[in-house]
Amino acid sequence: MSAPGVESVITVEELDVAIGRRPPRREILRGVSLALLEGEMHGLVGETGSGKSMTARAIMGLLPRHGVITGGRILLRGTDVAHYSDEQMRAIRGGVIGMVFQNPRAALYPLRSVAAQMAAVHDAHRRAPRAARLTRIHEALRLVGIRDAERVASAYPHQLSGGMAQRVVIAMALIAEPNVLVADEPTTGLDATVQRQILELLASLQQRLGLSVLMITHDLAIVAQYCHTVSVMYEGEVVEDGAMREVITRPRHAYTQRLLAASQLSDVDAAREAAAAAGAE
Amino acid sequence: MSALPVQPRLRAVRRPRAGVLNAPLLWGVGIIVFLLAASFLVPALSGWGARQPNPVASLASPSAAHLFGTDESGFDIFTRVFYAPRVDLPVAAAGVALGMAIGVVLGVATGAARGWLGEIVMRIADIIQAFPLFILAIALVALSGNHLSNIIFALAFLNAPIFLRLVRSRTVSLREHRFIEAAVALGNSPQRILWRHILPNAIGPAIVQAGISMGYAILTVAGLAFLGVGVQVPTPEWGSMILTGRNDITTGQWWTEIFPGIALAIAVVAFNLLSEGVERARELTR
Repeated sequence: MSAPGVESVITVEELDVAIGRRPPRREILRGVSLALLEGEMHGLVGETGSGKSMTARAIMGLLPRHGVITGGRILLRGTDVAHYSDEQMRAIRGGVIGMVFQNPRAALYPLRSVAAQMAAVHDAHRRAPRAARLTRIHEALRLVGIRDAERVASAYPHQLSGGMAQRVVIAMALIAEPNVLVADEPTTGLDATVQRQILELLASLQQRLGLSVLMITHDLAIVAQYCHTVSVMYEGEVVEDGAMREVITRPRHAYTQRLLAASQLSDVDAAREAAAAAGAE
Repeated sequence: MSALPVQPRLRAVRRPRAGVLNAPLLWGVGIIVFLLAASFLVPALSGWGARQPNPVASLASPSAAHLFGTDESGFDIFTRVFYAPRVDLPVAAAGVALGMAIGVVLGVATGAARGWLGEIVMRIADIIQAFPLFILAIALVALSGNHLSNIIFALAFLNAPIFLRLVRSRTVSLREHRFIEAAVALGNSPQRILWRHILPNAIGPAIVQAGISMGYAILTVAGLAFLGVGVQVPTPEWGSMILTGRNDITTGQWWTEIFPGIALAIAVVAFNLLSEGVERARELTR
């Protein structure tokens, strides 16, 4: 499905994931395929339990206990990482693929300062003298729109507001300069206005740094507005995928139609108009 | 619709300084510092040696010369009661510290790594804890030889399973926390996560437990000495002093028993207060 000339950063091919100590295992992903193209934002939409988070976990090599990949491939720039060891995956996590989580304050370690946590992630992937590392931490914090980076760097997670904490989480995900970002429900647990700020930030980072972003969400309106391509998941399968415009203007699968109907229509309409305008150019 | 009252923001801004130093904490620390200081000052200033018998003044009742009286060998009880923490506290502390070190390390390790090895460690802990503590302590010291170092090892052996269980259960619940998952997802190594993320979070209850364990350990050291196990008679130690005076109380010389007994109780209470105080301070800073 990739357009000629655009390289696919992550390609998931016919991925099967099952959970269970031994066969017969319970299948939770069946033949999932998706492609994240270089410099694009790809939306992965579905309801709770549809397998979207599990797909992200499989890509990161973070399947839950007794979760196994029983079939298919996960290509990271052409290399199959589906059966990489934990040791091998560690360099990829944070170093090649950064990850942003829902509920940012729960994702930060409560007992250490922002700078100390970012330094730990930095050191897991890069070597730099202390002073240079601190400069990098401040740069990363400014990159995500934090103006008083020095103060935030020395703060503890409980001193941050939800939006500030999510900016910190994003800065931490970017500290080792990965070029792929997996954002798992990055706006869950945030105020509506803050949600918008975070989404705008992710979109602008994606543009400025040329990141490829896999945006996982249950909210089709978010995807409609920010993503270039989309995959819709339902009960462990990808039921529909393609260019954003195609999917929201001509949904083929019944589930996508229901999802569209359930979204805040004004957002979707706005996105449709935007898509139509972009198409007319 | 009526206006809603303005809700105060409930975000912790800074660690509250006031209240951290609560009454139980201050009392506990105060009594322990007092006991330790007195254990050096009182024998130096009382004019009586802690190990200096005085057969002429045997079983003298409390007076200006002997504030707490003397025992059957003419030892000055006042001097010896205050000297005793020098013997009891280091032995108890060493035993608890060793047990805590073993328990915490095994607790984090078995909590983080699932598997049969951890199960074996837990079943051994079950076996140790199935015995009544004191009887096990007597058996251990009696079997391994009547040295102070063996009392320390026995205390460590008895305390390790308590800390193991405490830290393991904390580790098991922490392991599932999102910030641990997040740390893994950004490439932190397992060792780093274990020692930098899980251990500092799991150690708090263990520190509170250490205070409680100290109280029990002091009782155990004194109890063993009372039974003639461990610390021996001429050494000034609360349990052995109670042992020395056990017959006198029936003949009216109450002071040989009462003063070491009160001192022992105060020491145990002090460590329980300390433990309570630490727990309260922890709740405030959480």
